[in-house]
Amino acid sequence: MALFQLIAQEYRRYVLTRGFLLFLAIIPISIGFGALAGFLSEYAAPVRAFTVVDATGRYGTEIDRVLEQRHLRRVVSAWDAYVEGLEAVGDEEFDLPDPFAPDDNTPARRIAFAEAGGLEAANAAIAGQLPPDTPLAEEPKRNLRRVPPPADIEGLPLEQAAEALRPFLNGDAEIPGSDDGLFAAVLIPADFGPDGAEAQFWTQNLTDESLSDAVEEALTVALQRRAYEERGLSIQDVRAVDSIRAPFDRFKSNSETGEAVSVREELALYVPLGLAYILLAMVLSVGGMLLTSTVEEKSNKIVEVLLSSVTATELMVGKLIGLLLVGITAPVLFLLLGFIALTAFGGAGEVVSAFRAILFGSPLVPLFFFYFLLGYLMFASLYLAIGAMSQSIQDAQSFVTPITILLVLPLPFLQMVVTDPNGIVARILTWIPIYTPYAVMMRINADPPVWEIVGATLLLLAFTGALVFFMGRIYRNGVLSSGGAPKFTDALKLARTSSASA
Amino acid sequence: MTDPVLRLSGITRRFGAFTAVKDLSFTVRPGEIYGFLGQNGAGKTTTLRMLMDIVSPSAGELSVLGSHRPREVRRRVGYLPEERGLYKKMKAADSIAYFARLKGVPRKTARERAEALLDRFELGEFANAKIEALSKGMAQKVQLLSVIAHEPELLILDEPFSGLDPVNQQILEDMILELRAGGRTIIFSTHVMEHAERLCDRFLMIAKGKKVFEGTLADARAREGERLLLGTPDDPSGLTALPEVESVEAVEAALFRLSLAEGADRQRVLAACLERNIRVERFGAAQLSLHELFFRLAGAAPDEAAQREAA
Repeated sequence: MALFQLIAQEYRRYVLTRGFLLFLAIIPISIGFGALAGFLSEYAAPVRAFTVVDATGRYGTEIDRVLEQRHLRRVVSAWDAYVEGLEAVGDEEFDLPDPFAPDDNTPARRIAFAEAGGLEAANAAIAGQLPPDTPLAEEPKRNLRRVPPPADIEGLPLEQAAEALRPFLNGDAEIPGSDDGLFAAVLIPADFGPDGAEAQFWTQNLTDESLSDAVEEALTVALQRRAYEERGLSIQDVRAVDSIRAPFDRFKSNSETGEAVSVREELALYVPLGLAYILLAMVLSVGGMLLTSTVEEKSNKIVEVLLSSVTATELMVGKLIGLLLVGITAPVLFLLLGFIALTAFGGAGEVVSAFRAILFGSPLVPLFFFYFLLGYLMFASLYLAIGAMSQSIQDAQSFVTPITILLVLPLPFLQMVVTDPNGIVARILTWIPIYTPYAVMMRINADPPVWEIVGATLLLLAFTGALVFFMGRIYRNGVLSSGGAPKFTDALKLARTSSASA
Repeated sequence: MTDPVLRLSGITRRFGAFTAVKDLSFTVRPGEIYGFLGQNGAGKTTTLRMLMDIVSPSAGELSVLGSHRPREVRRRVGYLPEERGLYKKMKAADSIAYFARLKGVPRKTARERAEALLDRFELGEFANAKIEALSKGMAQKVQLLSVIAHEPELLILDEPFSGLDPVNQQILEDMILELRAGGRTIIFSTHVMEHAERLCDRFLMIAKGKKVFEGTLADARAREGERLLLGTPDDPSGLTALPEVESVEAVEAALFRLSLAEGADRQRVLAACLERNIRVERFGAAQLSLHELFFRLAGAAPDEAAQREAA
């Protein structure tokens, strides 16, 4: 009965705090920020004006053509995302003519898409199959605009033209008909060519390479085309040859369906990695709470009042369980919300159902909590013992830091475990008890040898049991003592002493 | 009601090579206020912790409310440790209710008692204030209330007066007397003798873990023998020649304290003064204060005060 009080007290102390509620809100907030950033880069990105000063008079249209192709690529992928999103939400498949049905975004598909009437025709094709008032796909915004060079530049030698354009590029002058300066200027000399002079790309912003890439591509393609013509090759033939792609797909040899790697199989690789990181974050944050709570009770001498009502063992178990509940509150809440969301909106959308199958159809969720429990007990008992030996958080710090380092040490290797789940790194991590929970969670979907998992788990159980036992002794013996910062020799002494009182 | 509330016999507690409490025996009767006196480090806190089974004795036997396992009667005992603490972020009423619930009081009752106690001790308006917002005196009151909210038969208070200003000390004294009037037995430790002198029915003095005295104030005074206070400008040291006078010590200028042998006749001492031409300006019985008795009985010297606190 008193144990229940202790658990409830610990739970309430941490869950009903501003900090914890904030922590719960962080994930939805960061998702919101991500969405906002995507929205901003899509709709709020500035429209950038650039000009081409072309002494040859040949390349302006070439650059326009490349930019148009790039825009078409964005239109097609935006369209595919729109259709796939509707299909996932509505759990249905639309009957669409070939270039409009979501597929790989290849040059051929894009040409067909444009020839079939582009986005307007695509929207018309789907409109009849949608519930009324469903918003149609919107064309991504064009954010590059070619403007003619200012009139007084015409006919100037390139060096002088560059000099004259400088104020426009540096924001000191505005292009007529626009309230903005120039983002970039492309200067193409009369003797431009593979063996001649170079084209110049002037801009203040060297980090945004989308325009310079497009210009370079356009100029390269133009020069190549001229070279084909000079060698007597037909442009159509060259394009046809160029568009050849090797048919290629990846297969998973132990996949049951024998089909190409599905989204589900790719997700199965990364969901456990995410869960392992969550476990790590949980253990670290709950461990910290355990430490502060123990040190607070000890330095405030509350522990003596508590010990006049409950035994030290009860107090310890109460804290461990109470904070364990705190630790799993967030994952359980998120899983539950996730489950509700997936059930409410879920459907045939491949990603959604794959995600659902991995999270709720595999042994991963129960395993997640099993290894969470063991990982938690392991580190929690360490933090508890350190707290019991410390008079202040500062005292505890010198002991906690190495433990934290130990805990995050395998992080750089986690990626290796993902890419090679049964490789030597994964196997070594599996057999080190403090890393077993992480390693096993990430390997479980990759058919690891059963004996290895069972053996490592037994080792983990034994190790955790021993650790909890000895850390419990340290807690019981240390929690009433006073003195300076904990020393390792003191810890050994306390661990050897059976008990001052149970 | 004749069974003692508390009985210790031959209790010893060692911490490694250090013996904090040595062969200690005493009993506390129901309804008593029992003082537990000793210097810092004398073994008071260790003894009280043994009564609560927070620390177990190395040797000896103790019985609390008739049980040899203090843990079994924990819920009938209230314990206020020497160094006090409450959860800073917890509200006053919640704190009292929480500690009562740990002692097995049902939720609703605990809550009601917490509010009633706060009202009675003029803290009703702070029921929903966090502990960190209370003054030290208020927080100490809340702590004491949290120790009595489960209505214990036996209250063990370790240094309850330390850190309180004179007003709050008086309030605490009144609380203790009120609790005793309600039929409870109270043991408290202190090194401030004035409180013990005013409150205690009986007291125990320990020094370096050993009992040096147990009984009433009158017992202690009787044990120290009768004393006379003699005011004279002359030197009365010759009086030690009398069989009645054991020693003469100067208290201040022209004032001396005479220790008398058992059953000594004061008249004969006065007569002897007159015989020896010692001018008598003041002559009367001298009552030793508990403070003085403590120094005599415990053999305490100020420089030993820095002894390390047990455990």
